[in-house]
Amino acid sequence: MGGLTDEELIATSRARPKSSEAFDALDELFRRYFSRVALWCFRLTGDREIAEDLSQEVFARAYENLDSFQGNSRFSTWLYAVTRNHCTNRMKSRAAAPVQFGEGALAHLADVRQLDPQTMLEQAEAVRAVINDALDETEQKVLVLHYGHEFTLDTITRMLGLTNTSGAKAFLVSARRKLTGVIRQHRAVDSRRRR
Amino acid sequence: MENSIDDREIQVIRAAVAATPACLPIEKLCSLLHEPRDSDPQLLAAAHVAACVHCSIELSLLREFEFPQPQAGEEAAVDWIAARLSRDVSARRSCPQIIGRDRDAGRRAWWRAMFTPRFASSTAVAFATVLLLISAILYVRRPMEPRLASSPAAAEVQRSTSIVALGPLGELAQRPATIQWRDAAGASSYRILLMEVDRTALWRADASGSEIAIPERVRSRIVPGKTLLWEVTARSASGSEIGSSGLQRFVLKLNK
Ligand SMILES: [Zn+2]
Repeated sequence: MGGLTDEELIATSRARPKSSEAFDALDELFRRYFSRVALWCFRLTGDREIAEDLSQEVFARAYENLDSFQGNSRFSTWLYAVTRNHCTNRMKSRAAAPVQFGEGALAHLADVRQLDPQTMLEQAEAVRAVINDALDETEQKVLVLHYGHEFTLDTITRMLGLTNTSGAKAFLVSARRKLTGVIRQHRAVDSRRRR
Repeated sequence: MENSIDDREIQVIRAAVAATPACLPIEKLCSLLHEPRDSDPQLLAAAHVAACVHCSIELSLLREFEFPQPQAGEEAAVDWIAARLSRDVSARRSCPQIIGRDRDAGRRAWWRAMFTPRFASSTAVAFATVLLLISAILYVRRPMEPRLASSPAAAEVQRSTSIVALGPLGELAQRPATIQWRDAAGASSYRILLMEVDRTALWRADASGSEIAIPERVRSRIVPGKTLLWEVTARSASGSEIGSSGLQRFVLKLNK
């Protein structure tokens, strides 16, 4: 089994479902990814026991959903998507979502008091330009991982291997400083236009 | 008040870092990572990533997973976890009693699904009986969602493999916050798929009840004037598909 590609192992498991050969193939397939899934889960949680639990769940989920793997990507990419989705959902349900320095309550309000879609699109476009032009690579990563992927700052610090004292927080603060100026400018123009 | 940031600013930043309709699906990122960039589609995809913060970070996360480089402090923890996973697999094959110590349904499902048939095939009928008993106990202990009573109407839902879609449907004034459907008899879980009109998947999720909240990152991709499709499929406790809502459509009204 060791000489087969991931995709060949899946084909083997599908050729004779539930057979001993099929289970050998899946066993080999999953073993190949123990370390990768473990690393992802450990970076996310920073705790090896929780990461072990999460890894177990990821493989259970992968097994249950293996039929949905259609070969449109490599198996490793498919497993990555399973790992990421599962970990994100579990972290959210553990209420470890990004509630950092006092913005949590406001973040919840964000769902209630929506900007109108057009204003939002315009402001987001302007902010995107600033992110591209004015933020350095680490600031960009921290911002996207925190607001786009809802990773906590501790997780981001581990993911990016940041060694400065305050980790990802320092980069988030400097990124936001650059962005809020633009947003406020835009907002002022917008409110003048509406008057 | 340099650090203060209000809810609308957070909203805007979230929208700015969210995927746009031009962003690449995971399959494209996968091929960028593994295939040569020598064709037009590959070059176009690479150009998009170079100009898009969202996709460049998606790609770097995928790269981190596929070509991991554990840092000094991580190696020991990863080895420990991987060893425990290996040990669990071996232990479960040789010692089914370990199942009693498992902590969640996911583990049990994995164990049951992966190893029960092998074990049963290689041992005597007596062991099969024990396993059946264990399975039955686990099945009974498994938390179940309340089900519709077995009424003629409920049976009809299953027979016709039709799940009643409750929303979002048609033209909407506001971004929907949830997807809702009517519970189907015999369903143990539901799979929800939100798609663009060309059937490109925007979001997949599983639910145990008859409603699911649409995450903010997905909601931000629901833009005025763009029709989206969704479908819910129901699964039985054994995981087989027993019903579907069929494709449903909705669109956020254009701003006047
Ligand atoms: Zn993109």
